[in-house]
Amino acid sequence: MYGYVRIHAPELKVREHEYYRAVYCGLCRTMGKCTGQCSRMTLSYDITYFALVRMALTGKHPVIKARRCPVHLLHKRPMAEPTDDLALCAYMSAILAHHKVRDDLRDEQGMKRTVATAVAPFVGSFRRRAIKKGYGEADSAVADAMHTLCELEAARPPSVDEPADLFGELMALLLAEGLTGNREKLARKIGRHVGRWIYILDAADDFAEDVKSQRYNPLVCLYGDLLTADPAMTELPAAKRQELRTALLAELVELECAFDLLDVADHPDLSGLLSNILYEGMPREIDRVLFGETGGCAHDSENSTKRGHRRRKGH
Amino acid sequence: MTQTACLQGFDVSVAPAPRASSPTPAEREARRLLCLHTSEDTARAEQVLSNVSGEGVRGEWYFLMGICALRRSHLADAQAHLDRARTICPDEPEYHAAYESIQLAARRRNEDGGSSEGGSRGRFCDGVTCLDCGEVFCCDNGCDGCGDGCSCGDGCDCGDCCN
Repeated sequence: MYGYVRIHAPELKVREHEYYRAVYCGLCRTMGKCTGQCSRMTLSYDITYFALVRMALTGKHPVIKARRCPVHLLHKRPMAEPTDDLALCAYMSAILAHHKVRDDLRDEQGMKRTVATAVAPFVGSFRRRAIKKGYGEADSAVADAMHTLCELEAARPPSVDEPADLFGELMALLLAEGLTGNREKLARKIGRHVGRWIYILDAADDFAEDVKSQRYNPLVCLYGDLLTADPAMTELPAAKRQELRTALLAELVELECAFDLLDVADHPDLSGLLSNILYEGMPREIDRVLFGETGGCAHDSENSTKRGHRRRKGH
Repeated sequence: MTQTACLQGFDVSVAPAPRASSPTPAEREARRLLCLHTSEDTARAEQVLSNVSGEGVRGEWYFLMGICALRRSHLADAQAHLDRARTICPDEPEYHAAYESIQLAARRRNEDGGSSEGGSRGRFCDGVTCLDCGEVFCCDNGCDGCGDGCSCGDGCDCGDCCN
């Protein structure tokens, strides 16, 4: 995963931040238990976010205990005890890591390929544990989705939304694993739009590097005429970055609509965290990737923060 | 549907204003299909357009592809196609209007915070998701941000909306 779905810590209450850290550390510990200690290296903010959404969907909140971990030996830290949702996220992370490494082995060259070759046996073992625990169907579905995505990327259509749709469907499938009824529908909607958001943002983030190394990037295909007109172009023009910002914020609109239906009223910490990520973390990540932290949208970010205050006061 | 009313609020007409060059049969057929407003017809219009290649790909082609993308809520693609259409044919007001309608809707949503001021809903948009069909619809008749109905007609299971 990519690590774009983040909190904006300065706007969090202390207890919300503690809760986030507890879930993050708890997920890390659960990964160690479920898929092996090495799999903890694949932990990301995106998977932590998925764990939070799963908790909101299932209504099962973890018990938090103070524990030590290999990274923080001296001081005990609040840590969520393993739950079904955390275990599911651990297994999903393992499956995704395996297919990502396979993808890198197929497409990458140089250092990235060397790294992928080195870690392939480890991620293979994470995935085997997931399959043993009954996630074989999810693994096959991810493999199919990745295969379709690879085929589409090989065809290089002049579109960022088509591959983003496929990635969104993949995320929807993973997030909705084991859920039924309205919860499943909500999970699919959240997964789909978060997946699309991550894919488009990642494409924008990698644009300069991909142009330089002539790798596939959907935005290179979409804005092919600009590159033809100016072969020296290595960065997206400001107007195109603004267009992408509009498209990425539209994904957040959809996400917001789904979040309004989540029943988290009885858990203010989780509710606050999810609001923080949606209204502060994700918009800021868009501005960071597209414009740099002190880029052209600082004014908008300021406004967005003010609106965030109003919203939270309203709740 | 995804926030269609605000971001897809641009209709193509069967008979566009007179152009410097007459539409090709494929463009005419795509335009006719796009006037029908169903997802199947949008897919067919896209299919018709994707069969065009070489010199047939011109401003009108990009415009119609942009409208197809907009109907599918593919906002990044839609903006890129519509921008290309208006760059190729800078004198076509319809192309400029389509591109500007997306920008305007986005600006209103992001700068004004939709119609959430004083409301209890979110600040991006006042829509809620219908759990029967997955579409977003609006609980607030005064909101022009997200439309006012979902196509399944069953309304929402949330129990707190007016549908």
